[in-house]
Amino acid sequence: MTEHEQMQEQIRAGLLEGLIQTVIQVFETMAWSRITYQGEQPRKHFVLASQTCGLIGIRGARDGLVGVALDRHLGLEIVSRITGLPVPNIELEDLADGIAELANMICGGMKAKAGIHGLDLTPPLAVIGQDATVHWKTAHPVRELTFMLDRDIIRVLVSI
Amino acid sequence: MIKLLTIDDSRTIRRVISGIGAMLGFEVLEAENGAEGLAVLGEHVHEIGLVLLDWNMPGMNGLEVLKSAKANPRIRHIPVMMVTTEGERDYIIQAIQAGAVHYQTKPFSQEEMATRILEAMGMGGA
Repeated sequence: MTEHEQMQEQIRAGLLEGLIQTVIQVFETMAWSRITYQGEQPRKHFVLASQTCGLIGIRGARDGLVGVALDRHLGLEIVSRITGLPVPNIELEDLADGIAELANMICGGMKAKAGIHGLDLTPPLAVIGQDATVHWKTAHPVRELTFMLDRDIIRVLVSI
Repeated sequence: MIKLLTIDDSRTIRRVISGIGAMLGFEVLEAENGAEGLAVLGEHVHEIGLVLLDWNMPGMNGLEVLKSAKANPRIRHIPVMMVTTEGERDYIIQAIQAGAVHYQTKPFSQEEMATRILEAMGMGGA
């Protein structure tokens, strides 16, 4: 492994560790939800197939993508907990903004925890839909990190 | 009644801050971008006790809004606290040098934000 490759591997490992810590922190502090990390698995493709997804691109010292995916009912519950709005009062715009902001805080925290200079995040993108499957081409291998909130699964796809 | 102004492109964050502000007994004004925020500041200059300002927004970013506010003699006295996902030291230094009185990273708990708001307004405990 060359020195450059070693440095890139260190950056990647730091970002992954920061990502796991931040996902837990964001759900706990903003949504009063205790989630547990279940582990990671390699994935062939970066596919967000849940009903509510937030996505952020990473540019600079390391390029990549991070996506957060959860079922609609859980997305509504989390946005409700963050904003204080009752679930029936949450409109589509509230849900989309809430999921986008969730992804934004997770990636911002990941970047800060990893302590890597020269990383820029793209504005967050939310995808909300019953039958949406969103597929991105990525430059790096894809991993799926799984978290549990009670019986619900939160999937974080990462390619960095 | 003293008012707070939250300038953030995320309605989620504006709503969270409005809830915390209301809990503390403040009325909270909202703006979804820098230009709108500066306009609200100019309009309510004698009522606003603190501005909570996001960094990454479309159009003017938070640092540009902060610099613009501090360059305006009418509103430069109003304290500004940055509320942002940008937690790197360089960002914090830039904000403080530009005149921010406090810097709060997202995510934050309600208690943490409430404490920061009171501190930034000089109303914190001993």
